[in-house]
Amino acid sequence: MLKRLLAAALLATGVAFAVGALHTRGASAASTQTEGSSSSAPPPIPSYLLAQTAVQVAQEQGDITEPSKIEEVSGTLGQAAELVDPKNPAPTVIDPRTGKPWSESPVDVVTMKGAFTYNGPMPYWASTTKGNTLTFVVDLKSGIVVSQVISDATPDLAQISPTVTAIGG
Amino acid sequence: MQIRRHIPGLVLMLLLLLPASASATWGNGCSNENNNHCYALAIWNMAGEGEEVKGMSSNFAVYHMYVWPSYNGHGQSLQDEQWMSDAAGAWVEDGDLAGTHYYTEEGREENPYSIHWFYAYSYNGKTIPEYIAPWTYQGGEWIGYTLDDPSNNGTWCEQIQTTQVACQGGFPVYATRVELGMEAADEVQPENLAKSETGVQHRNGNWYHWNKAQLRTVKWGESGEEGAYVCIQSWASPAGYDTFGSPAAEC
Repeated sequence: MLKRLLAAALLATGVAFAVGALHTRGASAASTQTEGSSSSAPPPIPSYLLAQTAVQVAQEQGDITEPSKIEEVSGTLGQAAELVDPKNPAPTVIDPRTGKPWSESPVDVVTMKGAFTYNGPMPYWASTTKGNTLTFVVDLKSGIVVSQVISDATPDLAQISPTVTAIGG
Repeated sequence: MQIRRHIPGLVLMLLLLLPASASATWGNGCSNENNNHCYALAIWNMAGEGEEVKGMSSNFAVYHMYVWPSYNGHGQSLQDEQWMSDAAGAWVEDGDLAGTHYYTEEGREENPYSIHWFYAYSYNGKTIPEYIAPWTYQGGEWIGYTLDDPSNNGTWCEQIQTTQVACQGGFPVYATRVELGMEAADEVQPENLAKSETGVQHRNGNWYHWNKAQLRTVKWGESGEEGAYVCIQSWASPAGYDTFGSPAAEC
């Protein structure tokens, strides 16, 4: 009986570490870079993953209920940056994965409504911001949420492309 | 007798499982929820009221950065970073980041165990745009990050090594506050060890090594010292050299 318990505990430990490995992005000096250099366009991100991520992002940004009016458009990081902060240009850094400006990389831009409070990197003394609109940007190649901003004004996704898609419930 | 023989093994199993099932806070209430981020900071001691600087620059070497799996679906993150700000509360920060895993990464993971360059800013107190590079850096190498106003016109820019990579307008020409260190937004205590060499650019354009830094561990929005959960240590020689991390034994 005890051996069975021990085996179950070992199995659980293995599963816990496997889950940790899959769902953690950390780093160590022993890590290696495995950037691809493929120039082919990355496949679109399925709507259900965008919807799930919208809920994740909303919860992280203080929205305790499910966000509403989730909409998505495909474009570039540069277009997304112009949309969320028209006064400031997109980063000019070169994307080492492609050798091209990061601003040209394909992204999905998602907006949603809710009650958001900024919860991200900031000085320890800084005031947070609140708003009823959250815009986040997903890098198509990696799936990483590369940008997000909270505001009270809803960005017009049609400025990026007329093909604006409603996702989620 | 037989049971007693297995007790050490069971205890070990429980200890191994502990991080994945730890409580939603650590330290003195540090967590990702409700902005309960915890910091290990080196704060530049200004010469006095009214001292201003043109910029700051840090070489960061991250030796270890580990963020435990997401807790209740909330993204956790860890940053080794520097902040430059003005008296009115406008600020810019940049540095290295790990964490923030989302569903959209499923099937697209490029490198789940590395460091991302990031920056964030707020010039009007109403919005805080943030950018996280999707590509990664290896740990264990010195990378230079600079924040400054190269055109002396209130446009603060980020540099990686010697390359300007982003700029934002709407700031004053000079900054009145410069800080660096670690910011942990995590439900489970992260692991981190990093070193930095930092200097500031005075109004005359000359660069000076970080000097006389005030060291603090603190939680967001609070003034009390956070205690022995995160750490930072300055070294007299070479000037401007700091070590910081989590847990405190890392320093």
